[in-house]
Amino acid sequence: MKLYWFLFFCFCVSQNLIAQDPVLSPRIANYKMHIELDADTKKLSGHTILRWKNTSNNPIEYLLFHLYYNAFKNSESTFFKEGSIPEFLSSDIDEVCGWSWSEITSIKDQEGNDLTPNIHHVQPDDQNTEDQTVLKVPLAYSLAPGEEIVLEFDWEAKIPKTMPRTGYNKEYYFFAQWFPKVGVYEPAGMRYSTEGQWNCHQYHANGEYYADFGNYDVSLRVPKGYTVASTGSLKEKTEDSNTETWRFTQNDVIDFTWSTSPHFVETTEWYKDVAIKFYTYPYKTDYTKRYMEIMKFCLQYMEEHVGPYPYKTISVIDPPVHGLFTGGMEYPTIISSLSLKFFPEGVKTLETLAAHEFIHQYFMQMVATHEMEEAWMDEGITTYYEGKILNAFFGEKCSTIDQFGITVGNKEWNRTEFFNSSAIDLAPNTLKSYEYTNGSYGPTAYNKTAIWLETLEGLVGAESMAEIMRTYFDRWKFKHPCRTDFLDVVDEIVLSNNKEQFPNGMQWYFDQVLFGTAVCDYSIEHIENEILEPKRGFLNTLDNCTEEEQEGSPFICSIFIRRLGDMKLPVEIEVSYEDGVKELYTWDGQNKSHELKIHSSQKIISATLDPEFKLPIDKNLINNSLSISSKSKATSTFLSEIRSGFQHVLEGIVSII
Amino acid sequence: MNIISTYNNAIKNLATVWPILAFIFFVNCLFGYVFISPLKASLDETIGKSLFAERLGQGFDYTALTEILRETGGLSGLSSWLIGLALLYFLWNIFTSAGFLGILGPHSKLSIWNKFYQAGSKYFLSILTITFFSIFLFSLGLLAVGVILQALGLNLLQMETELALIRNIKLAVVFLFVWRFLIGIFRDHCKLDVIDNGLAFWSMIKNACKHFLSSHYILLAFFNVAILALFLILLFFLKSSLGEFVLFGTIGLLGQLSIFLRVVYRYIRINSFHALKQSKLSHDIENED
Ligand SMILES: [Zn+2]
Repeated sequence: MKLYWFLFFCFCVSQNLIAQDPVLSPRIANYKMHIELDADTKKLSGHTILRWKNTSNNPIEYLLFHLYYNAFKNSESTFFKEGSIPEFLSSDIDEVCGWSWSEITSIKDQEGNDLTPNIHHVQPDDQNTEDQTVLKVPLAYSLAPGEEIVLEFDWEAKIPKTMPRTGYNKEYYFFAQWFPKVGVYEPAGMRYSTEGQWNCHQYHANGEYYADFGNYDVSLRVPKGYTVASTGSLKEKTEDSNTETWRFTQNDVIDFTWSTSPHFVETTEWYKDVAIKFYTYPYKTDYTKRYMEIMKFCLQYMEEHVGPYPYKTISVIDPPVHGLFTGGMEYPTIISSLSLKFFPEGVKTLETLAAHEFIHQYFMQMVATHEMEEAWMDEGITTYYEGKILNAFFGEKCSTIDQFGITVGNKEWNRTEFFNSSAIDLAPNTLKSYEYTNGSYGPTAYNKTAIWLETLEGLVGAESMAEIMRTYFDRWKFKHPCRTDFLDVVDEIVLSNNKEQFPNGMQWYFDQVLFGTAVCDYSIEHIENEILEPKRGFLNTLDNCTEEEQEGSPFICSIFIRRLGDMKLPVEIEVSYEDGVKELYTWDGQNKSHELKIHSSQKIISATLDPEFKLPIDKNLINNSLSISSKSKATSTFLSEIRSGFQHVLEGIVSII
Repeated sequence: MNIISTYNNAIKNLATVWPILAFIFFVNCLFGYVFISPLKASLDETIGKSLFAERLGQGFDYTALTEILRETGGLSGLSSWLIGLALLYFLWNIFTSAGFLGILGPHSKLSIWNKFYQAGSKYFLSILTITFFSIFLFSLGLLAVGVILQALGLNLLQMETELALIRNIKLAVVFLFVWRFLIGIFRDHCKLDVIDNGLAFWSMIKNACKHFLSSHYILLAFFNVAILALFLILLFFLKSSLGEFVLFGTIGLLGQLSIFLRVVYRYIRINSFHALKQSKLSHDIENED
């Protein structure tokens, strides 16, 4: 009988477990919110119940909150001081009062203590007292390690008009970083913290976000007829005479974002049990198929190469043209892309953005690194996978543009973006987003990282690289890793798979590409084929001097290679002989120059450094090869094309005469 | 009045004037060679014997092009060189267009060069004036398009959709093509007027205004443009369909042929206009008789 009851108990527990979502994350910051959108006054009013857990070993006296909408409160915020927003976004900001604000009007804890009188703005990053993007909420009592606190607060926000990434325009609304959101308390030992401390940056002109995982239960009351696209899954929808309330829930995410418009056309398709929800405007519904195809491909690719996508939905918004200020962004289980009817189908912007923003679900959302302090870990790794996915989807040579015979691949586009920028050696990857100068943030965080990850793949091999990325994701998802965690995984896999080649791991590499600003440029300077002189003297007998032809290898061939940059990498050299035979040599690339001497029966006709293009980080590909023959026919053809083009231009100019 | 026969007459003159047209084409080629000479030098210096050069011969290669542009410093250093050459070519063709006015209609082969040079210097200022006036008219069209587009709105954030803007831009392009086409007819009337009356600016404009909307001239101009377009398209397709499977040089030859055609077109066009005007005049005289 006892056994019967025990089995019954086990059954009940297991049923209960099956019915509930698995717990994926530590669920530190959990929100239940009721939000009302007033479309007439462009205001949001919210009621939030935040359940927050102290996971550190020290008591906590206060909480820090982001009030991101205060970045657009006036021209004195740090956001505006650091870099004004583009003129076309802010052209009518004063006319229509497009500025915004966010304010907690009352806040109390679960014991009814009113915390409102003591809340005040603080500026952890700079001394700009005008900046109100971080709010300090002193607690009525210190929160002991492991304890939870429930804070209940009312807040209001004025919605910005066409500000970067968020706001409204016409009847289109996009709410990102829109609610008072608690910062991250990093316990001692987490990332770089030696003692428990708040990590809650002000809103800067450059850089994105960082937040703790939690469960969200959000009810959104919007005017009747509006469609809501949001993080999570729709649980219920109720309505009264003028409004509809949409309730969404999502567990184990770091943020909650939503968008609404009366004009959204919604389409749902499935990849396995993941609903792909696509929201667009009626004049762009013809893009639906393209979006669905790339999204399904991304889901499959990331599942096969990195790890499974654990959520039930992924929503994709293609904003209308007047909502382009919100395009190309990533939020948990919801992304925004961008398409413009100006672009012909061969320009793959929408697929590029959709893929890029989706990949962020893995590195921005699940791994959840600090986007502002270590942007490369999110944007760079995402750009690396963007190249992989798009090249696999469209083909390597035409994954960015394939129109009128002009083809551009994603990876080559990315590489050129970086080497054509002025940021080649301006900054290491270790700066905080807002510390980059002279436009070096984008090229360094996005492009450079993708290039050095591809180069790392070239060095350790595709298999090791795949294992590194899978291990890194699997080990660190839902844990906020920092760069040392990534580097540790790299060393672990390399020391296991590539120990012979890299016995000391890869720190030497990261010192150059991540912590440093070294530039890579190897060059083949010249090739010489010297004929060995015949042997002379007393060769076979002591009686006479004789002369004999050299046997076997009458040539001493030398290839002179230089390291023009300060980056040191091992390089491969492919040597081609007259009879078509090719041989591969390696050089550790350490010295400033190297002479490869080969005894051969054949003349060397050409040599190529890095023949398999494993080192895209080499900035000049032209000097990577050299031939002993005179200049090629291809150059003449190329020049004759340019000449012919110029002649046509001349005729075009004089056609007006 | 038969457009085709007018056109035929114009083509027949080619038998006499082809050496001049060949000479103009030759000068164009010369400009082409002069233009690329610094480019060739810098390309030889950077690419030299690199195997990378092979990528230039394999169709459009983004990495190859950007790598070369970056390492050679791009075309930025060549811009003043390009503008200088274009200006020189422009002045030279003011002269050739003026010269064409001396060799319209049937001429003997012997006197043709003389007449070309004489007309070239005689009408140089007239053609220069007409050209500036044409440029002025075209700029007016551009300005109008700019102002209208601006008035209709260019700020994407203020649009419901971008479809209206796309339609407006397409209309603007069509308008500019038509405008440019009409300016061409107007300009040719001005040129022919200069032969008869010298450079009397306002009367020239008045006379050109009187005739330029005549359906015969419009039809003839359209015919001219259509024939040129047809030939250029044909050459283009021939060039792209030949691909890599032809002897070295054939592709370049086809490219040069299309340049030559454009030079020939310029002569045939003004000549056919002249023939049409002559036949119209004789028709009018016959009617008066
Ligand atoms: Zn991104």
